[in-house]
Amino acid sequence: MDKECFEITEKRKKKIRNVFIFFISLQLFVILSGTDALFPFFIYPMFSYEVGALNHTVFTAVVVDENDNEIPYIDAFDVYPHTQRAIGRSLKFLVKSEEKKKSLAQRLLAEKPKYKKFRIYSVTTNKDIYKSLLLGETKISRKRFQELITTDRHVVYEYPQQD
Amino acid sequence: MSFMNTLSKTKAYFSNYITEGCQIRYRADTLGIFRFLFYTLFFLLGSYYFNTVLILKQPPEFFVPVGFLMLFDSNPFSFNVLFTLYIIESFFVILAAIGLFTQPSIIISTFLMLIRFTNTHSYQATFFLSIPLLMISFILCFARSGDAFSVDNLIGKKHIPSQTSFEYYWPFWLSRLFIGLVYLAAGAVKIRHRGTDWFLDDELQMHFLTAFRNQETDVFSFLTLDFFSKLKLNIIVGQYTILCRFLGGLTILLELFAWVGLVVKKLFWPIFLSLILFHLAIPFLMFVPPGFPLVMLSTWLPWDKMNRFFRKKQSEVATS
Repeated sequence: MDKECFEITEKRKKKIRNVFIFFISLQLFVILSGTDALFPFFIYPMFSYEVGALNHTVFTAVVVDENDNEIPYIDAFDVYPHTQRAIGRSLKFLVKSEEKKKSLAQRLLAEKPKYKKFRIYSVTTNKDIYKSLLLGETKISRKRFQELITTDRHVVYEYPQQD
Repeated sequence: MSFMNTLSKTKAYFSNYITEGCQIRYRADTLGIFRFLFYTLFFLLGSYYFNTVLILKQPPEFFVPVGFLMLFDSNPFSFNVLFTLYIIESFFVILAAIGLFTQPSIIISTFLMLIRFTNTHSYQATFFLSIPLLMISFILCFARSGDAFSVDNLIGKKHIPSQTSFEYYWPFWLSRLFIGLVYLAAGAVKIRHRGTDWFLDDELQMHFLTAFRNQETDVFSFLTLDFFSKLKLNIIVGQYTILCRFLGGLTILLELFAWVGLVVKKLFWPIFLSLILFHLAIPFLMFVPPGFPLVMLSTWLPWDKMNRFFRKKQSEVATS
């Protein structure tokens, strides 16, 4: 029984060859061209993990309680790089800050369903400050982060939105 | 002279790869078993990532159109639409797994996956590593994976599971090649966007230090990632710049040359095992779950040899 073998027809061979050519050329095209610009919605997500440039003005979020008091919560800080990466996927074609806000808001809504209110700030920082914050996470980051966001920031988005 | 030697050697490797590939015959049930396992795992992983509990909690702002959906006045993929699509897709994925109306089921589920995965910004329910799996599903659209190990064949009895043909091998061949190129693309895009910074600067170190896991978003997170995030290995490794650079360099090398394992036989197992280790290390350092990449890499396994081995064992047990 094991020796039963069938050969494929010429027509089928041609079809298989075309499928091969299609897939391989698609992938080579993706490699050689600017993938993000050409296949932003389909192919690009699989290459999204190189985004990590932090030397820019970035957005971050702070959670506020019912009485509008800010909760000094480390996770609010932690949300940012993750979000940045998610937004990074679309940095090339969604350059308006409006878009970034929206993406961050969506991400935050998705990840923190328990938060009734939050604000998104734009914070200017640089990689060195950011890195030192991260490296000292357990010791000083909360304090330094609080200092940072209270001295140089402005609200760009609020949830729920105020009319 | 040595350059010419290398060139001719490379040429020989490639031509050998193509000639040998064209002659390989796989059993019909090998492809059938692969199809069954692939769609079963896809269904399980898919339900993991389609976190309905979480999506149901979202306010209307969650469905504000972004990306190309900005072209529409409102997001055409509301929760109800997405959920309906997901239910239909799951139904066809199950049909594809059991092999009932195999090819139409695969085509429909792939089409629905395409709609779902292309809207990653619309809702937080998909994962970028699922894209290669979608591509494998695309490949299976053209393959005769329902010839054996399927309900179709049980009813029709048209095909013999033990028959061998190139027909049952080429989907594996193409998937392997495609996955090799996905790694190449991942390496190339890192170099293109960040240059040597990715391993000479602190790119990977930043990735480690900024990795975090939100336990609330994962319904089944207790299974895997909570454990990894509690270990905080990313913070420990992230303290050592040199180590991060070394790992970064290794990653780039592995990604750029993963495809070599397919062409040069001697290097297959070292590269394949390195890739497995690479994906197993990522959950510890970046909390990315290894499920999808490992399913993707499973195409590289010698499926036909494994099938024969298990059948042999089975018959030995039966005779004894």
